[in-house]
Amino acid sequence: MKNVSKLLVLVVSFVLLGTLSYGQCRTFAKSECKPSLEPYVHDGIFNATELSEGESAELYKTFYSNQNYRIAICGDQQLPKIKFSIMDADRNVLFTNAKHSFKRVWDFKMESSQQLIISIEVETNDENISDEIARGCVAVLVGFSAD
Amino acid sequence: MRSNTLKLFRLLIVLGLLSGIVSCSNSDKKNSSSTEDVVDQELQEKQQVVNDVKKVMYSLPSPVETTLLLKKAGAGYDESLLNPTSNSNKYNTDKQKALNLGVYGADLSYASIFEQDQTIMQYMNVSKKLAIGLDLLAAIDQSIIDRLEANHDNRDSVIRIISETFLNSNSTLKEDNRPEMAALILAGGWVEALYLATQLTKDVVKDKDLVERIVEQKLSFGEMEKLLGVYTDNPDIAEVLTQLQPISQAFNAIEIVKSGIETITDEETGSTVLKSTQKINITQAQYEALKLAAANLRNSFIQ
Repeated sequence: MKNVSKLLVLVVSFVLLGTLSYGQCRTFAKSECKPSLEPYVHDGIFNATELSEGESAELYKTFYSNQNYRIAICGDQQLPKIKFSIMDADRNVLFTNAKHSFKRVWDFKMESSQQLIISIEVETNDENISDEIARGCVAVLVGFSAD
Repeated sequence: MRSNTLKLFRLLIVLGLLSGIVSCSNSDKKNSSSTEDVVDQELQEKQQVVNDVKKVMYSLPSPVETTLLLKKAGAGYDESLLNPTSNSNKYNTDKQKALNLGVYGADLSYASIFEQDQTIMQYMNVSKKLAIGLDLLAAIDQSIIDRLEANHDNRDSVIRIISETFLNSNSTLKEDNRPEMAALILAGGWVEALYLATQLTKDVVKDKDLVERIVEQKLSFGEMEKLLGVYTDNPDIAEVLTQLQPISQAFNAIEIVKSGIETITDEETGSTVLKSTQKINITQAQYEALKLAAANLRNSFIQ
């Protein structure tokens, strides 16, 4: 009976750790990432996920003409640099922060509405070789001008 | 009892030995990692393991953004188009609550863009009621209502507060491992915004700018289908996907021709303009079909 209880405690601990981890991702996105959208208005959509170094993710989103936008990318402190690229629907690269000192925000305006792909990739930590792969929250937030 | 304890003890010893073996193996790896070849190999292995995984996300336009774009394109305000707050008493299932939380969120956004103070408070309160029904207590708490009351005459603040409630709702649902509910709320909001836009627009020639904005929703419609498509195991989502088919057909009949994109960056400000052109080919009949499909779906949601 005691063993069953121990097992239950172990399982519940793992579940709680997972939930806590995602909760931390939300708190991180709100406290660390959202302020970097200022003075733009956050669109209210929570795009965040946990990534390990070397892992990548893509966000598909439509952006509208004659509207000013800011894209902000944020990653946990323990993660290496985060590369983000903006591609059109045919996957032609329109911007990559790798050519701009890995900056975390990008301001732009569209002349006609288009679906864009925001590709994010956590670089591998080449300078610090270890057996542990760094893992943490990465958030992609979009702001628009309310003028 | 003693037998169980013995078994657990044996298990711990086996796990301890296994862990020791793994540690040794790792320690061996560390000791031999002095040569450049091994470092390169480690880097390549690391890259290989993690490169195979790519996560895909879809993001819909927020109703605040959509209604703001509509106003800029010349849309007016018509309170009679909103889903009456009295309807909220009819929503008993999670599906109804989620879809109509999205619907009311879009109505709230529309009222906020046109600075309708009283309506904003009414629709925030009804949204709070549905949010509570979905166990989203923290999404719209009393502090948000208080801040809204205190800032009701500042449109920018109101828009930011509403945006915050959207963020609270969809992040809480994802955190609670209920992403399909978040998707339903977004779908409800998207359909309501399309409904409002199509009801405010009559003629494809006279209301050219508005029609253009409406047709452009064809792009985000594809994203919504893909977002919902992730959760087809959920019967509520599967049903909504079927209900979306008439809108899909109406959009498919309308052609949008796009040029490639040229990027021009102002080096001083760092701001970029993505230059491109588009041409929309639409007839009045095609527009009427889209308008009808949007109205039928939205009215089925709010019943």
